[in-house]
Amino acid sequence: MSKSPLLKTLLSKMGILEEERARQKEIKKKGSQATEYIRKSRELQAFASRIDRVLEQRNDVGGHLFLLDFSVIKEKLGAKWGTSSDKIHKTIKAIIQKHLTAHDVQFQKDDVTYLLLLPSLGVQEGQLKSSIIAEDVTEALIGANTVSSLFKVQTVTTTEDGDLISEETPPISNLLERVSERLTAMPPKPQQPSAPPEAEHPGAQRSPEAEAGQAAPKPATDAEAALRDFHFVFRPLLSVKTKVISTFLCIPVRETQPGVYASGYKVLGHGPTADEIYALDLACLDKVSKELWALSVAKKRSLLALPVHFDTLADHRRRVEYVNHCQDKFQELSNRVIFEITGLPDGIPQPRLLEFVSALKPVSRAVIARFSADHKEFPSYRVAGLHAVGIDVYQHATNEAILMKQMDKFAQHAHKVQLKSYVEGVRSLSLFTAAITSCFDYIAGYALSGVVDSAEDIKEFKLDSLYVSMLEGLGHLPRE
Amino acid sequence: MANILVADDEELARFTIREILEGDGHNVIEAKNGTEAIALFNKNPTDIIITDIIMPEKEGIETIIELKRDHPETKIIAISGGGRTRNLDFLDLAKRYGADAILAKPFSEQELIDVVNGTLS
Repeated sequence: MSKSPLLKTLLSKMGILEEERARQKEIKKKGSQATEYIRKSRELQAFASRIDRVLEQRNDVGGHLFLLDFSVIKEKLGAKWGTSSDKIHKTIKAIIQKHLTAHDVQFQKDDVTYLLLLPSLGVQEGQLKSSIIAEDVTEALIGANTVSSLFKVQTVTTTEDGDLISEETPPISNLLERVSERLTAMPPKPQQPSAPPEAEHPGAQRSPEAEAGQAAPKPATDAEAALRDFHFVFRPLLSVKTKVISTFLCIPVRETQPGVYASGYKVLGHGPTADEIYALDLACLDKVSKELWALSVAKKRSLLALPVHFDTLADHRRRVEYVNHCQDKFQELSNRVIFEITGLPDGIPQPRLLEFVSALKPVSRAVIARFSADHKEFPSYRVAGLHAVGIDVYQHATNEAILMKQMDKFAQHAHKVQLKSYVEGVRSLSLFTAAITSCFDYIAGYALSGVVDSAEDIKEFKLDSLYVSMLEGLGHLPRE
Repeated sequence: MANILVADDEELARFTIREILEGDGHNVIEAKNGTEAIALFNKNPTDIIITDIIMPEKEGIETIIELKRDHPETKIIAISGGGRTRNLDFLDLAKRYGADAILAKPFSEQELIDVVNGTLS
């Protein structure tokens, strides 16, 4: 039986689509609210189509959604809920996002209700995860320790003949017990599948069927295995013109040997498959979305940049799916996201690049692309809508004198066609000063700053900061 | 007459400075970057070091800091070229970190001689 119609019926039964139609009639009368309607309507369509996509990809998805109801909190907060509505919903979305994996979907149904689709989980695991999320939200909004009475979690599903069933979720302690029993009763796995990246609640991330190796999601298994043992760091990026560090680049990192780290797509090892690359791009997207919402709640203004590989964009199905994930995850914060297209083959035709940029632009602030250091054919790429072109010089084995000349030429070629330029992996002060005088617009690398676990707020950059460590303890202080 | 060490990664720049200063009666030795300059200076200390800012391996500011740390009495002139606006910051920094004089490229023969002689006196 196809589950997709089941969930569509469910959405319809829940009255979401009908509510939307009613809202449409009402709002059409009020011109000033038309834009808001269109936005909301698009969000709903995106949610519905996302569900379709998840169902197409995974045949192990149960026909159930989880509803988080915060109406009691709204009552408790009284007028505050209305006056701080934006902030409250940002906080809720950020907390939910923090718990979700790349395939999960969230949707704000109305002022007090959120819908979750957790396709990797069975009903009880989904209930447990939804309850944990609701508890986190409640703690964040109310600050109480015992909070289970302040939210409601419902599991909504439909029967084969289309009847709607709504079930109140049992308390967390009961759910924990049940899930734990189910996991204990399961036969041992022939081979231990890897945990999905950044699992928040071990044991609650995968359905028992998936845990047992039955109905394993495709193609995630191989890809997830490739993503074992890695984490993300953020590298500050300096905007030279404004002298501020305003952007943080998300970089996957894995320790390959004690003290030896692989970064970027190298975390996947030698010759990764397109599925593995795509899985890494999704994991990165997931991390950035969580970071983005956390930044927004903390009122930090910085931008986040994330890589997206040519292989992900080159495949039409993957590209569409990736962009849809972006819409779902970034939502109104997409204007704080910058995509860095990597792995582009030299000489990629301009129309092809235009296709990629056009797909990414609606869900981002800007799109930049990384090339090899000797690349110089930029005129057609400006037309493609790229904001900047750049290079990563970290792994360059050439000596610095040659590299500095390459950097200079690269920046010149970019500027000739009014494209901004960036350089990453600037590892020494000599390369940093060379990057400045070559007029790169953006610079990142160890010479500027170490990596950080979480993106920080925008901060002013002072040249002196590069040399502070050289002056420490030497009694040689700068002249004022 | 003074002994002068010129550190610059550009062959032509080193050659030009050498020609001007030798024409004014000074002895000149050359280094291609900061690392080489410091090594040469440690072997044969000179009266003045003229260092470019943008150099591979070890750039000018690092070179100045290190030289001033180990040889506080050393006279240093920092020079720099390229986009003048962007370099102003580095020359200003060079001065604050111990350079006795700064000179933005391009400079005239007389400007260089004046700055060198002014620093010597």
